[in-house]
Amino acid sequence: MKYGVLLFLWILIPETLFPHGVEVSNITAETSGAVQTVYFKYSTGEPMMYAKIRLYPPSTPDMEILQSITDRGGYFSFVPDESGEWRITAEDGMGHQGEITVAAGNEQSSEHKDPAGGSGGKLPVPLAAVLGISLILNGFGFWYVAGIKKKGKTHAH
Amino acid sequence: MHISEGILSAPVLAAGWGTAVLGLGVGLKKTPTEKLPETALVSSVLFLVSLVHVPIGPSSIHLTILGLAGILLGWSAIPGLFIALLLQGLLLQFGGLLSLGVNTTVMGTAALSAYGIGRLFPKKLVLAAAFAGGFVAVMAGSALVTLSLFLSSKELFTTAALIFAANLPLAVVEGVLTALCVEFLRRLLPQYVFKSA
Repeated sequence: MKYGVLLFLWILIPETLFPHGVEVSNITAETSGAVQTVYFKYSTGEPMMYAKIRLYPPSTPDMEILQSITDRGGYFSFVPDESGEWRITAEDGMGHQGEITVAAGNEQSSEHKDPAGGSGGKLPVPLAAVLGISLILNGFGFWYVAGIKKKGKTHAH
Repeated sequence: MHISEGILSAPVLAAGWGTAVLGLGVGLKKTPTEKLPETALVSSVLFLVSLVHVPIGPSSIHLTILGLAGILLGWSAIPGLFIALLLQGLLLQFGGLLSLGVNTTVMGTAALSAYGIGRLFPKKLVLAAAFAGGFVAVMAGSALVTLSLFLSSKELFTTAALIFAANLPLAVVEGVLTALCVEFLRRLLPQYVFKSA
């Protein structure tokens, strides 16, 4: 039984430790009063749990003042003590990272940057999947037909 | 098995693209027109497979089918993989355009290693060959991901080593499933198993 549990846990490890199929995207920021909360998730929808957080204040944008981790739900909260743009980076140590800039002290605004190339206009996953399959099959289909035609012409000559 | 943008160093990215272009050249040369339909089919499955997560407890796993792709397509797996990865990067933000070369190299090598290892087995042991192919594909891919991370930053050594070790169970699962798929195809369409160049 003990070994069964160990085996079970071992099988769980790859998804969390190996950078396959999961990327950071759709990072959003929410504000609640003085507390800034940012949310990191993978493009699969799973939260980026326990990712390493680095916090850069507006006054020293290249020098972090805090290292922390996201919680189990992919959230990280802090209270800014100066106005301006705060940069927060998250890294899971497995090749995935996300970055977000939060404007503090003014109106509640923020912008996100996705190093994986994600954008706010990202297609929903089911639509992207159908579009991808369609492109692959149609692309190879045209290639196939063109190849057959080319062969036919060669034989005709 | 995707590596995100912004992780790898420029020399590793350049080397990845160089190797990928070479592999693509050979792969395209070894892909006759008649083989395009099966390449399209495998490419579609490769594109989709990373989306299918099997929830297990608080986490989930997904397969790569790189071993099966290699066994069925041989060198043609590389163009199929490249197109699947390109679309994954563009449509799903898995990986990215800069790391596409490294990702193609990693997964293409994994697929080819499955094909190569499988061919070493005698014909009677096709199931063992398929298992070895699936297993070796994951481990070869893990090794190359590990190497790419390590070459990009020495600080990633511990992580890289952990990644390699953590993929052992996935490799076993992938080996078993590859053997099952090959056994099914061997009965239904034997002409496609370990026949590609």
